[in-house]
Amino acid sequence: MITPLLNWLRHRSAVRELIGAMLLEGVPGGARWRYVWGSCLVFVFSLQLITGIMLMTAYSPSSSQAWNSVHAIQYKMDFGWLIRGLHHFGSQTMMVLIALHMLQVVIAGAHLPPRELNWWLGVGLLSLTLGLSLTGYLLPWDQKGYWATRVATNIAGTLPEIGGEVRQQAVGGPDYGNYTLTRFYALHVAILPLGMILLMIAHIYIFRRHGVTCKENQEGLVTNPDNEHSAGAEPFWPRQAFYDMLACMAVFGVMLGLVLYGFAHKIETPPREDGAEPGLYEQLARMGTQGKGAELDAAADRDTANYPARPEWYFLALFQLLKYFKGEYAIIGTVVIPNGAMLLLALLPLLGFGPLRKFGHFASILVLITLLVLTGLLTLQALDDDQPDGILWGIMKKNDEEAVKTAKKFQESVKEAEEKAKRACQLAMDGTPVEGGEYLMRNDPFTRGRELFQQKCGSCHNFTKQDKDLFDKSWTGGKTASDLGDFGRASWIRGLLENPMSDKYFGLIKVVERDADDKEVKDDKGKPNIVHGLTGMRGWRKGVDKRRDAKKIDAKIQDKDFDTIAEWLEYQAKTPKAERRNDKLIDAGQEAFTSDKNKCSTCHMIEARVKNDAGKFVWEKQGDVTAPDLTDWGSAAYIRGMIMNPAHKSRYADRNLMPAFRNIDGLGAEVLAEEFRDTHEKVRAKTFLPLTDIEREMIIRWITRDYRPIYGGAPIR
Amino acid sequence: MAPEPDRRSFLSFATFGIGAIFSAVLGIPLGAYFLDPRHRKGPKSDLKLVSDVTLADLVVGTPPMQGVIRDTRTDGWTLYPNDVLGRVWVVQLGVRPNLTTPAKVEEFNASAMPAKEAYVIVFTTICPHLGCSVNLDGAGTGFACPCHAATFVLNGARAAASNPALRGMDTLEWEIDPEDPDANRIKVKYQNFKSLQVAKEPMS
Repeated sequence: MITPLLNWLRHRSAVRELIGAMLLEGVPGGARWRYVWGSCLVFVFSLQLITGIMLMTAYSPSSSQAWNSVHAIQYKMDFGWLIRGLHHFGSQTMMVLIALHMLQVVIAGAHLPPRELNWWLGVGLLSLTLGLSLTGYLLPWDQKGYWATRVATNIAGTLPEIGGEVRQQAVGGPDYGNYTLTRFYALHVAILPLGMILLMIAHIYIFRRHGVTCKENQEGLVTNPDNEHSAGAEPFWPRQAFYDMLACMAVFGVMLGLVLYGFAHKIETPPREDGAEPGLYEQLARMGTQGKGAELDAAADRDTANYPARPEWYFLALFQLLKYFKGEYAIIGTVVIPNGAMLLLALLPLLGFGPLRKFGHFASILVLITLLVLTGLLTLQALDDDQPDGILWGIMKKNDEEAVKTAKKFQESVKEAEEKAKRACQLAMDGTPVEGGEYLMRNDPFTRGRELFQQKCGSCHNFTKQDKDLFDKSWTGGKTASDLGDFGRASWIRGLLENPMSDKYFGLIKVVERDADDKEVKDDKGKPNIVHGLTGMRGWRKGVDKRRDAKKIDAKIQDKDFDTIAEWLEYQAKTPKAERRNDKLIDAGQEAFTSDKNKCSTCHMIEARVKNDAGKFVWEKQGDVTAPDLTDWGSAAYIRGMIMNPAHKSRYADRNLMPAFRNIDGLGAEVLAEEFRDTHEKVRAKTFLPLTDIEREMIIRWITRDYRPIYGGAPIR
Repeated sequence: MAPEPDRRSFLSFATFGIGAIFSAVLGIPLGAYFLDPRHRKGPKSDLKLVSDVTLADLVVGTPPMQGVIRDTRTDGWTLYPNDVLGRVWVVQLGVRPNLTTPAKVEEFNASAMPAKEAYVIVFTTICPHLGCSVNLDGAGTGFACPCHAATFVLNGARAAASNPALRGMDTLEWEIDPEDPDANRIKVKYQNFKSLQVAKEPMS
């Protein structure tokens, strides 16, 4: 059955002759291990084509979606981590293999006449590979690729005369965005690979016409125009093919090793919906979440203050060159030297004509090795500059204090950037906002909430670090209000009950003293008299101490009550009403709160859970409202009320000192502000400060340690 | 120079063998990656609130009203917090039972109201023919699909025998929102159905 089919194909396509022509090439002088590099390059390039096409099936080249789609490939799609990882390390492997291939060619003298044309094609292939790396680096649209590409295209912009136009064409306009991606994408997946394939075909064809360079076949086509290589040449198949195959597998092994070693950020995955443990297949298919594969940085955000941009390692030498040529000489480092090096490579064969051949051969080896060594040294220096203690076990230790400081600062930024990258990758597991991946981080309470707190709340409120999270940092710039570090927790309440006038609570709050007619009281010098404000809790604590001193209440027993109240209020803050099931705590808390001994409900109101006539639990307000209503104290809803309307009668009413923070962007906002000022005419602090809804929710979630990102939309999710 | 025949066949065999193993090692994950869409799921077909129409808005004899189903929608990697999942036609066919004293929520759940389809039907706007959006016809007395001229009468049945659609419009299960029965809001089980077949069958 199969034989007739094969015969049919043979007779109509000459496929057998084609395969024969490919495999039965003569290898003059016999198969050699050192001939494997060219095949390895073809192998890795083919892998790049296959994995690249696979990546194209899930990649979206748009500035708002590119990162998100790459994130999905890396973390959500079956074996996406493997395919992306192979593609990523494939490009780096190409670089190493090209260096080895060139070294082998030059050592063999295979670039010298009559093979100089093929050498030039090879230099062309090198340029195209660099182009593919450069364009591919941008495509994930992560911080790394974005900032590296900004640098690279701005370097292109330093070309004399044409620089501006070159940059504009590369970027696809004046600024980086959709057109940059679509143009880089077209270059990366179509134009450059097509060029590669055409040059590769020519390169291999010409190579085959000349045959390998060895003692028996120095002159290639010149002495052997019919491609009948010297007698005794060993056919390519099977020995050289076998060598090539093993070498390719070794190369693949290294690539796979790098992918499996893993350079991605580990992230936590939610448990499966059916509650089952993931099986072996699922574990393998989703190893990206275990950090396997290539790194993915946070989504590119043009609004990043301090990103430590570095190019991929094979461009580090060029990066280092920039440091030596400053100001008007920069062009030497950016354009003259790199292009000079390429030109030098291209000129190498010209030294090998006629009697010069021996000298040319020697000079070429010297030039190439020098270039490689220089590149290596520059790369090492670049790596070393970024390490405070130097690289290579301290051999390159720094003596310059300034350099150590710079390196330390760089490492700190790297650490922060990595934390943010990890955070971004984790957040994106739930889906990314339609505006783009960068909005995950821009609207992330964990990273942005603290910055906003500092800007919007921090001139009055302090924030003392509570947790070990990297982004939970203390803020001590607050001068006139309470410390919100553990607001919503039992410790906050407990401390308040102990010492309400400490700086953590009401101690920093100062007001101008007013008499019964609401007139300012002046001191001896005629200046307004400054006294503590919001002193209700101070009075309460004085009463407590007095009764304790008079042995009317047992301090130990009452302290236990206070513990219970604190614990109960934290429970209310963290648990929505419908989910409160801790009956014991609720009953104990309510009892302690409303008891005559503790006198909380003398001033504060709270929604207590009581049984109605039908025997069902209902929520009912108890207490008085001369102090803030503590219903759901510490919850997001409570904080929202405090931020938007602190002077409401259920909060600080006419005692309020805090400005209201509202969204006053946009049309109609001024009308709302006007209304607010009118209704709060009698309130001393009727200040009205801008805070968008999303900013407010970020601050709330940061204070309540609810680190879900905010997606926006209506209602805000 | 050339190796012995035995050695030759060993080398050929080994080269082929390694190539085959490699192809499998790479080919299986490539295939699995390419077939990844099999994991992706549509939105859950639980009961979702219809916005823009309540039962109180409906009047017998006037054209059907269109309601919108909004919910979180996931499009690949993108999450839309509040997007339009789809639209429904709400048709009042007969007089509603007296709902002025909806004392208990339980009275309004689906099983307790077998006859509710007699006065209100909810259709998905997606045409059972090939999935275009079905509109009201010019007079508002029936439905017409703009793509292949499928036409339906108000109760969803096919209007003409020459209809390209093989079944009537797809009804959706609905109930009065039990959270607040007085508000007369409708909840529907929003689903997509397979097109171009006689039987109504939910898309997996």
